[in-house]
Amino acid sequence: MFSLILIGINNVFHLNNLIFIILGTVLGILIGAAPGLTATMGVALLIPITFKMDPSAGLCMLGAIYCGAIYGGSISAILIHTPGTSASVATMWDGYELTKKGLPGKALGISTISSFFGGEFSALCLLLIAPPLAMFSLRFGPPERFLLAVFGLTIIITLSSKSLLKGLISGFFGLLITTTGMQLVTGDIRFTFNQTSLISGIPLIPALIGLFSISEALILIETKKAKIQRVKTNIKDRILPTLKDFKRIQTTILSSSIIGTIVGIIPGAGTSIGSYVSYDQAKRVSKNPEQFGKGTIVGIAASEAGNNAVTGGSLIPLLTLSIPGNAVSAVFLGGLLIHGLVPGPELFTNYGPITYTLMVSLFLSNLCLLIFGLAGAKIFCKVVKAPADILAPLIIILGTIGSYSLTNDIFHVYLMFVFGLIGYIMRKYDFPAVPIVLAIVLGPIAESELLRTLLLFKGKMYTILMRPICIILIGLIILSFVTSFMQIRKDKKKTI
Amino acid sequence: MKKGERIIAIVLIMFCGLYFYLSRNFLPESKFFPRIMIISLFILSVTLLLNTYRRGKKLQSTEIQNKIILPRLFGAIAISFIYMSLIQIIGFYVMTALFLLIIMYFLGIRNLNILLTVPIISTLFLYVGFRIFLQIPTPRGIFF
Repeated sequence: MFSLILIGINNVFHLNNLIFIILGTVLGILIGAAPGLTATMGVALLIPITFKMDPSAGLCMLGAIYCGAIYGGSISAILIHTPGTSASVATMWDGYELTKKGLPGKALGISTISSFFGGEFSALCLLLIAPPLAMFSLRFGPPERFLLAVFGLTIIITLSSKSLLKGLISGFFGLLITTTGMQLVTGDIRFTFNQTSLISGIPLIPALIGLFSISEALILIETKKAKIQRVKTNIKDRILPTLKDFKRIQTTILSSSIIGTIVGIIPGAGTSIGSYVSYDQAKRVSKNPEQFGKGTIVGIAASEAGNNAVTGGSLIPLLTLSIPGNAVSAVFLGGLLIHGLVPGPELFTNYGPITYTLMVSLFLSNLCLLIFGLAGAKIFCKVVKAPADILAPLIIILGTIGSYSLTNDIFHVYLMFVFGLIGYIMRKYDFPAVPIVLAIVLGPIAESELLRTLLLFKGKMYTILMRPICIILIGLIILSFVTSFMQIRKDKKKTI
Repeated sequence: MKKGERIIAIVLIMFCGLYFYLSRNFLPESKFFPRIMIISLFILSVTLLLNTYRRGKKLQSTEIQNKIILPRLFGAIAISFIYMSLIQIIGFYVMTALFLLIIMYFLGIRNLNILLTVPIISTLFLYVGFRIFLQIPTPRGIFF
């Protein structure tokens, strides 16, 4: 492992990878800062662009975009009271208050420092936890992999906190459409409607781009007032936090980083949960809780350290067990797959140099985030003025080129557009889109491993109860159901 | 909202019916998983449909809003679809510049500087970035 870390460090400082890490961080910050664009959408849109790149460079760039976008959301949250991403809502509560007091620079500085430390902490956890966890997964056979896929699919319920019914509909719709194409075990061709482009199934990348990016473009187009409100870009106060301010927030940063990393590891819990839980915890332990929501730097630090700490944490279950930690990592999985990389132990052995380069690159991405965030705050805040009437068509164009470039098949562009319309309708009627992504990714795994299990045990499924890992996974699935149902009932009682 | 959900539920039920019919000739091992999904989705869709009748006595109407939004949205969808259909015939870069010009004008931008510079600069950026730097293939047509 140590030698692979050294290889990763060496690779990261190759000029090619360095350029893409810097470019990815800057792009990510721009995407996060622009209201209406999300980290999920940005990663989905840019995955096809990495196809022609060296896998290390491509994945490093995607990781950098992820880190940058989660941080970037705080810029518009602080300056114009509009979170660039959902992970920055808690940042907005105190960040904008500071802007109203004439201290936007201070808020941005605290946000940047906190994001940096949160991101670095979770990158360290990824580096230490992922490899041994991946080796443990070598013990997984078809029944374990089937149950793991089912466990991953139960995330659909945790992601459906608004409406369980709609979340399940999205999930089962996704599972059904993933049966399109050639069944890998039997060779039977299903639901292709005589389209040869569908024989290998519903392509993941056009579906991702459609569901997240094109739907977003349509939402932007729908907004009658296309111009984002003007923002005062004169940041006159000091951006770099003072030593006194840093001492005030250091404990909060540490605790929020731990919380965010743990939240990231839990499948289904996203950056926004990392942010809220960290903010809430900081408020609980604070000597001055009444200051929260009025411009306290502790609130900003908690939220930003918490949300950026989710980034590395969410990649742990993804890289080791193929279970996305959140929506962005679900999309990130697409980035792995187009380079022929399958999550699991092989990623840390045969493809170890690539994987360790990715993990080490996150340290550098967060460092770039710190540098660009502090030095470029006055420039990035101009992005929040970008009009939707120009952004939306550009998203459509990037989506078109992204969907076409993977297979040179114009059918994929049409498919992307169809998924875009589906994604738009889903968003209008509060159907979550992430369950479809999870279903597209995990559905084929669940089906093929189920068939393999049935063949292995000659139809006697009860024999999986004699396997200890299967028992643990069944327990986790039941626990996931129970806690999700309890949370949904609790949320419903609150609204009543 | 309820009216839209009702339509979605009905469409999903029809979708399940279609898929159930199409799956009739599959091998038993190939039929097993899709049929479970079809039945599950059917039950959920029926539940959704029943829910719209249970609570919704008044169907919410957003007529005034729709008069403004829907033409803009449908127009953008139509322009985008035409763009995607023509990129392989005309050529990606020419169509992209035209698409940007037409859709920005349709969405309400009237500033001549923006209408001309954004398509040109964006297309140039896409060419340099994608064709030259990243060597990503783009649809070729009669023109560039």
